[in-house]
Amino acid sequence: MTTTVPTTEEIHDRIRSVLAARIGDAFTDVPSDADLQKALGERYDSLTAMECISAVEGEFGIEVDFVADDVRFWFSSVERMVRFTHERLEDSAALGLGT
Amino acid sequence: MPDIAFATSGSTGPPVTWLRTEAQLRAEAELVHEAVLGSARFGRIVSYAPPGHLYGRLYGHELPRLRDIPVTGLWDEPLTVPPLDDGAPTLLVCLPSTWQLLARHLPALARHGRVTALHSTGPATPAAHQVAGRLAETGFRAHELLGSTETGAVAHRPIAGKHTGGVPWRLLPDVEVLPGTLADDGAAARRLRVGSPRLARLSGAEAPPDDWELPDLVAPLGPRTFHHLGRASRLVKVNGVRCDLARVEDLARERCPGLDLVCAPVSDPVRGEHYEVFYAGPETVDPAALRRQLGRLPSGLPAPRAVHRVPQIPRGATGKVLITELTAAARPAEEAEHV
Repeated sequence: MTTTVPTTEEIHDRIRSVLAARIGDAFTDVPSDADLQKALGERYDSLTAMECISAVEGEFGIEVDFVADDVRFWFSSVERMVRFTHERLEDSAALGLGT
Repeated sequence: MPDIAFATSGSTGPPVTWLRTEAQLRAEAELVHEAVLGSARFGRIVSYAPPGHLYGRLYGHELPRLRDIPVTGLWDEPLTVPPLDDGAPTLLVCLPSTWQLLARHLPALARHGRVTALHSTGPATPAAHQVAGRLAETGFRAHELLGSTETGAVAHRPIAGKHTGGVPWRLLPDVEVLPGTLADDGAAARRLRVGSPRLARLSGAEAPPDDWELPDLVAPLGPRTFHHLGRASRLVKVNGVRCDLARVEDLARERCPGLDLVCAPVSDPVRGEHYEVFYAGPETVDPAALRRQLGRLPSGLPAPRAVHRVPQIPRGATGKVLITELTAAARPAEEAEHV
């Protein structure tokens, strides 16, 4: 089975869209390389991060392992989320798991 | 030993301090251990509840001290998975948000087979019922406590899978129920009024009250069992943090005069309960600006989950806000107005 992995640009746009729906307009001006907790303060607390992780999982059909994956690192900025998601999708495609 | 202070947000005003004796704390930890947890011998307690609040203090400090049980405190790390590798019988002290984490680790919980979860500070979330249902055939057990900072734990029940319906609450052995105030709508529901040796003393008072009426509306079943029907007050608990919506409305109106503004309670899959703000007013006040105004509420009151501008606040003939119509009216504009 051949699976096409979305480009990093597409992943970036979809992640920004997912996060905007959960965090609101405060997120609009946050750069993708910014630390979300520093940029958003209490608007990006641990529980909001959990919601965003679930939303990204749902958007891309991936699973985040809270033990094996360093979620504090990978979900601290949009850029890191894009890298994490892209790698996870590439792994799935290589294994023929689809997305 | 001085009494231990626990602050609440106050029912209608500024924060209130309630005092408990060491003996009351010990008694409650012992009672729940015996009556709810079956005097189980735990090899570890993992607590997600902050010890500055009564619930976290009781099961992340008092019970471990009484039974000499090591504690892993994760109240500042709600995304950290509980340690389950060594197979020790484990008590998880859960907040509403903890269940989203546990739902991600069902296989590990099932394999472990000796985990008991204690839940309080707000209604059990859909994830709690999902976890309980999925692990029903394993050694996993889950119990829910109902109570308040003023009363301590009042009643308990097992957390059941989502398809089993409402399980009745059972009073703890030292709690006595007294006739509570009838609900406004004239139904059989009454507010839950209780007496017990564990009622807290209001700071400045000489003694605890004889009894205390909680905001919870209940329908009696047997002499010591009841169904929980909701709350009479406008209190919500955002992941266990009490928030009086009437107080938030007063504060919001002070900061933004001229707005017709209402707080509506909403269920939240992570935090159990939350609230959203709806307002009608001048176009010059946009939801983002109001959201920023409400971002720093005093006394630890949680900020709203969302702010919505609506054409008008729908009200019935008596002036009562029609919450269902209000929330439905806002949904089509959610993408634009959810901030």
